[in-house]
Amino acid sequence: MKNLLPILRYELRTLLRQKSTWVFTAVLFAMGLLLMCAAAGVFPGAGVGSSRGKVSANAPLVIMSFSASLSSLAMLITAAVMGKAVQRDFEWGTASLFGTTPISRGAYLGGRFLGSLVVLSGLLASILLGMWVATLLPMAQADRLGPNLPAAYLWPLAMVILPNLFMTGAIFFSLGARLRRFGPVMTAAVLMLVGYLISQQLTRNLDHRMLAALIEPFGNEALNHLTRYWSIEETNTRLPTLSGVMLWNRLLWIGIGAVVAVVTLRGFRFGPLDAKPTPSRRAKKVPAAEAPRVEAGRAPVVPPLRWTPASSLRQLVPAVARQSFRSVVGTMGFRLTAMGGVLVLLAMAPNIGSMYGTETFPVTGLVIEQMGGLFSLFMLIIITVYAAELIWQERESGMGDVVDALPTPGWAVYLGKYLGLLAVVALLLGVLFVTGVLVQLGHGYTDLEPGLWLFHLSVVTLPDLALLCALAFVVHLVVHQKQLGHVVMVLFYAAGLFRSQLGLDHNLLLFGADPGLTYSDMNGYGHFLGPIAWFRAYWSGWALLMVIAAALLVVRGRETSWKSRLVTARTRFDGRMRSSMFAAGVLIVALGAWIFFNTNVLNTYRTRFQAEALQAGYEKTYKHLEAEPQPKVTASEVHLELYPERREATFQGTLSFLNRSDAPISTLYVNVPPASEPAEVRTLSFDVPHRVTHRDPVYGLWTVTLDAPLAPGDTTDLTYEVHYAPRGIENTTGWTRLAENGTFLDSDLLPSLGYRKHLELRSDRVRKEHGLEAHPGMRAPDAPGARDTHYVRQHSDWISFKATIGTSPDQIALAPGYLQGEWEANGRRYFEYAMDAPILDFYSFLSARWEVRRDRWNDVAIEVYHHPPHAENVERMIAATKRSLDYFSRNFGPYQHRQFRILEFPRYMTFAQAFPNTIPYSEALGFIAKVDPDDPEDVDYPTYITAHEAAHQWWAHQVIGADAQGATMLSETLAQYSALMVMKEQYGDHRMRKFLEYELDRYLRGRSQEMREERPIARVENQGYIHYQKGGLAMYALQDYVGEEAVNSALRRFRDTWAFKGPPYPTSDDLLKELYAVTPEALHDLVHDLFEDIVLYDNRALSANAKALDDGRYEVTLDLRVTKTRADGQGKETPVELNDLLEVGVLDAEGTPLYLEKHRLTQSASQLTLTVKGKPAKAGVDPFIKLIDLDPDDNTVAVEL
Amino acid sequence: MELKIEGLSKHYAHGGVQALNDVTLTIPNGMFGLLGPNGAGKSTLMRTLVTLQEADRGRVELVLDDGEKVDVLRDKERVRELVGYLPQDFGLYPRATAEGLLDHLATLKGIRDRKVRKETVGRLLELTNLSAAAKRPLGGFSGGMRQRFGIAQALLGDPKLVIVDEPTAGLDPEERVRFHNLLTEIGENVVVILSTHIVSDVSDLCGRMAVLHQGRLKMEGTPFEAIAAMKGKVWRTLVDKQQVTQLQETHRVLSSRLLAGRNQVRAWSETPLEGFEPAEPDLEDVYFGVMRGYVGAEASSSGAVASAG
Repeated sequence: MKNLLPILRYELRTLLRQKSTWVFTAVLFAMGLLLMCAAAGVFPGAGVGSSRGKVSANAPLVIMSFSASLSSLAMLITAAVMGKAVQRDFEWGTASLFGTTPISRGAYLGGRFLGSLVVLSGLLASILLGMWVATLLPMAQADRLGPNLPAAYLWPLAMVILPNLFMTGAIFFSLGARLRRFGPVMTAAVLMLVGYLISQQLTRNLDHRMLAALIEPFGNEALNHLTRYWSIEETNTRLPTLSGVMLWNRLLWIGIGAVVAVVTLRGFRFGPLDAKPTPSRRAKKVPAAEAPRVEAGRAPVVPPLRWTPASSLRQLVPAVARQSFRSVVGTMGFRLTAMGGVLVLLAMAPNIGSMYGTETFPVTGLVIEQMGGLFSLFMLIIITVYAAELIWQERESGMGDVVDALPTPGWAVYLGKYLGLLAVVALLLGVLFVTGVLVQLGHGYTDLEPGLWLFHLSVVTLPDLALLCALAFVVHLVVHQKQLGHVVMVLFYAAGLFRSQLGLDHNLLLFGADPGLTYSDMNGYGHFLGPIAWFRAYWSGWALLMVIAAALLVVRGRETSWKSRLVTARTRFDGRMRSSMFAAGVLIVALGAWIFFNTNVLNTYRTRFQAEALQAGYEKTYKHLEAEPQPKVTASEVHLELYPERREATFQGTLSFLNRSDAPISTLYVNVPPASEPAEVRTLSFDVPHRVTHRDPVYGLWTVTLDAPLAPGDTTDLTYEVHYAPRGIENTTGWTRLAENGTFLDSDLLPSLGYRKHLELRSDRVRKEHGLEAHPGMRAPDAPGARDTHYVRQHSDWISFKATIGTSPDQIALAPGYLQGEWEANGRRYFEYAMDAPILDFYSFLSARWEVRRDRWNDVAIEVYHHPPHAENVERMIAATKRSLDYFSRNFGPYQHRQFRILEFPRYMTFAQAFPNTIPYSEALGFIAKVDPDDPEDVDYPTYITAHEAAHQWWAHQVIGADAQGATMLSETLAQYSALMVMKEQYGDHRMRKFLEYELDRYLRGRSQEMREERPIARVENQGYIHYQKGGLAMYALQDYVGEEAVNSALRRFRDTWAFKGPPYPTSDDLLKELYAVTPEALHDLVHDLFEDIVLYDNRALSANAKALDDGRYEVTLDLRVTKTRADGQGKETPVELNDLLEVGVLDAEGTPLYLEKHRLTQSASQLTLTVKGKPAKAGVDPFIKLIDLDPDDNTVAVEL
Repeated sequence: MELKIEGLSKHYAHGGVQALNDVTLTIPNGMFGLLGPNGAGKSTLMRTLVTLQEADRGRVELVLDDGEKVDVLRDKERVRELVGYLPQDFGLYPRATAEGLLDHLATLKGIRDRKVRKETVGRLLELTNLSAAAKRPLGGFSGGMRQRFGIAQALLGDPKLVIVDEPTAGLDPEERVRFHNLLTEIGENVVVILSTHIVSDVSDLCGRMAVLHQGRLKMEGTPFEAIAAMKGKVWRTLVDKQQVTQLQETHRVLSSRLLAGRNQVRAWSETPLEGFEPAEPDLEDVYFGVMRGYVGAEASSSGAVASAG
């Protein structure tokens, strides 16, 4: 090893002299800089990660995760440097020179490796330098930055960057050295990507997260796992530690890197490889080395045929295409990459569309979308790599001169290569198709749709990839330098990733961009294909123009300088070229103008920043109206004419208003669709004399002055006609609520009165960008006037409702209410609905071609309107409805309606929403769920969602909370609780655990991503992770501690007091009062902790030892450690003294409790001795995670006998 | 068949080299040897003739037997139909077979009929004595086999102008002989330009020759005449190593080479030299004479005399 140092020094000098080293350094520096700039708010309206919340841009965890993701990207650079470190000696033939010197193999390899390692370390460290510099820039927003901790910049180096570098570097280095080719290095890089993707698939199932964190090579998943529940406070201040799964992950992968390197390099030698006989040796085996037979020989006389355009197309192009296809498909790299892609697809197969770990039927549209999405990454790699290979293959193998001197038309050769690559792409799509269908069959799903597969892959996917192939070809032909060409392509992909930050959101600005599409079983491709076709045509124009540019600049022969290429280009620029270029230009301008007219003139295009500016403008202009009293809606009568096939809708209707205030009202502020909406207000008039004094088309607000003020108690009717018709091509998929099959419109589209505060910006950082003060948040429940309005609609109380809907004759149209009549007129089908009791001012209109399944529960008609093939879960939903109606009316109070309807709508939106007796339910949620009734781990989420929405008929549509903090506790939390009880009644307490495990995970992750402030449930400000997840957990814990009956009796009393009441409306305090009333004094602290505070436990079982007693029982001794903390809204934790009832359990091997009792623990460390019947397997504290536990995995330990 | 080169010049901006300097040359049917040291501009000239490079100035015209005149610098497509080219260094797809690659190249060349193509490929492989290796991957070929494959592809499509750039470099003597035989056979009906820095290649094969040095044409003619013109002007002597340097200062030394442990020095002189005996001139003497500027068209203008090689 004595020569190691000189070699190391030489390697360092070589690398530092290379231009590419400095280019890479600059690129990584710039990436770190840009990422941090975006996070620190340098580009208004374009943030990254959590830059809109309260996490500092330079928080240690943020720096760490930025480093982790950028350094995994930098794997490409590591591959280039490490893979070439020794391989280039073989490429240039210098290896044999080293072989003849007295340098040992160890010194040579060690020196080379260490040299590259040192240089790459510096190179990667420039990421951190870039980030640090960004925080010092004057444009960085001071309020987005915390203190710059040196450790925050150094620690990522030790924890992620250097281990990743060592691991990938060792593998790339040894492969390049041993196999002497660069191909295997690239393939290894792709396989690592495969590992990363597979582990990402695994994380979708909670049970596999640990495994995923362990096997993901770059430590991203391990870091996520380690810090997944970190609060804002922790994120801002804590340094992730090298412990737990992170430590194991790092050790595992450093070990793998080292082992691969040692094993591979053991057989390294400078001389010729043994495995492959050298050319000269092989040559000796050739017989017939005598002089050529002298048969008065001369070259065979074959008339040289000129390649005409026609014959080129017929023969030359196919011949080149065939050769290109074979040369790509024949490489090991291609095969391994394709296999890696298939492997990742198979890894994702069990998770397609899964929710709560429960499978979904692999319907074709979903499989294409999810598998195709993932597989496209591999397509991208293959296209990028092999476009370059095909263009460079002759030159790189030394045949460039020979081939360039052949009488082939250049265009035909490149067209042939292009088509060869397209054939490769088509082959890969075929692989995707076959894999996808096999996965479908593997799920036991036989309703295959080969037609849809073929249509999608050939008409939707292939042209998109064809554009990309064209781009890759043009880039490489024009750049005419392979590595630089790759850099350009990577920059193009990066531009796609950072579209918003670069201001390229408009689809006219990024090559190949289009509005995208969502396939729905119900609505097929809907209206999406047209816009995509327009954009594709536009980009084809660009492709044509680029191809012409490439044709002018392409190098044939040896003249590679730009000067001579430009000279040549001038001579090539003949009439035909000129006219094609002109045609391409005309195409681009014409299509571009047409699309621009559609997206920006007919429709309104806004960047996120502009949209936010508009919201800010609304608030600034009209905030003062919030205090203006307005009349309230008392009745709504709607006549809707719907033309699904044209995607048009006309609302005609009357809204009745009543002045409930104690002052006369003379000015009405009428909200109408703003000019940016595809709507037209055809009539708008009140039945009392009035004038429209101001029209604001930007914000959609008309000011109406009444000639005579509306006295308190007076009423007025507003009649209106509003027409909706989407206008041509939009930049995004836009208006999906109007669909050919599956229209879903709601009352938000109709005129209304008064200031709309839900339009206000919520993120304080964004508000600041637009010159607004921090948002005050919601009112406290005891604030003056808080009980005057409910939280769903501020300008109405309870209303009466009637609707008539006309639709296509083959569709059913629905709105809340009871069917009053159905008739046909003018070739259209009409339905009339009316409500017989007051409802909230909150209703919807749906129309589709449905199949209807009807059932009854007592006197309630249950109807499920579903897409005919989506029948699998309909019975389940009906059963869930019956159980829900039964449980709720038994425990809370009567159901107010005589019908209950579930309506399937297309998957453009994925939620179910409870309107009065009518539940629109997305096709993506449960209609295609595949619940295995025999699997105790499967969560029956169709039942859960149905029960949740059914519960809203009580919690929202009977009792509605005041517009103040805690409002959604009265609706969402109670609906969640009610659904859990229905589930528990069906499946038992034990099987609820899986579901609650997911809910706990979602709550803990939700709070770590909080944008403003975490609040206790009773003060929740419409925060989903609190009112759904924490709410459900807390209510479930409460009923566990005080009993289901007691909780239900409290809820019944609460409902009895407040149903259909208001104003004044109830607040969370009213509910809490009832809950306290049914809770024994000793547990009041628990109620407080659950609902009025943020309390977190870390319950751990340290050890459990058992000994068998003589009577066959076992004595179990438990060592427990219980930590209880209280967190503030930013997640800052303070320890709380323990005086809590905690469940202690001993479980047998099946997980059935042998002992389960609540003990009052007053000390963090406790020891308990219990006696149980039966052989104990696991034991611990809060074994079923009934409390909010920061680490639910360590509550039990295996019992040692 | 005739190739006329007039005033051809080429300057490389990168490195500031005048690769071709006003070269004028007429090349008839048969084998034509282009001789010159490395870097003389031979490869540049050849690549210009096969359309791979552009010239700064000058004209090149190919006159076919049927009277068709082809402007080589402009009408590149026509040129590519007429030439066969074996570059100085070239590689082959290592995994392709000789037959497969030749067939592919034949397609590109324009031999479209599958049967004709198969026949052509077969005959060319036979001609170059590669039939036995037809189905073997090219990665396993020896240097000689590769060169023969190179000539096979250069002969595809009945070229009128065959250009071979340093084809014998790296071949062992036996392979070289074989290769020479092959070249002579094909040189009967077409123009074959053979560039080389090995003098014996030219003396063995070529009816006509030219010497190129630093981008300039130094001499053109038949080897025969050139040697004849040297008759009586070449002298030789055997000296010790130390004396060689001294002789180089005082005499017009053509070459110095070891012979049985001593140095044989050959020098050029119109008159007898003291201590030298007359020697029979050969093409090597012509070459060195031209290179050193003692003889040839532009002898007077040649610059400093390089040391003997």
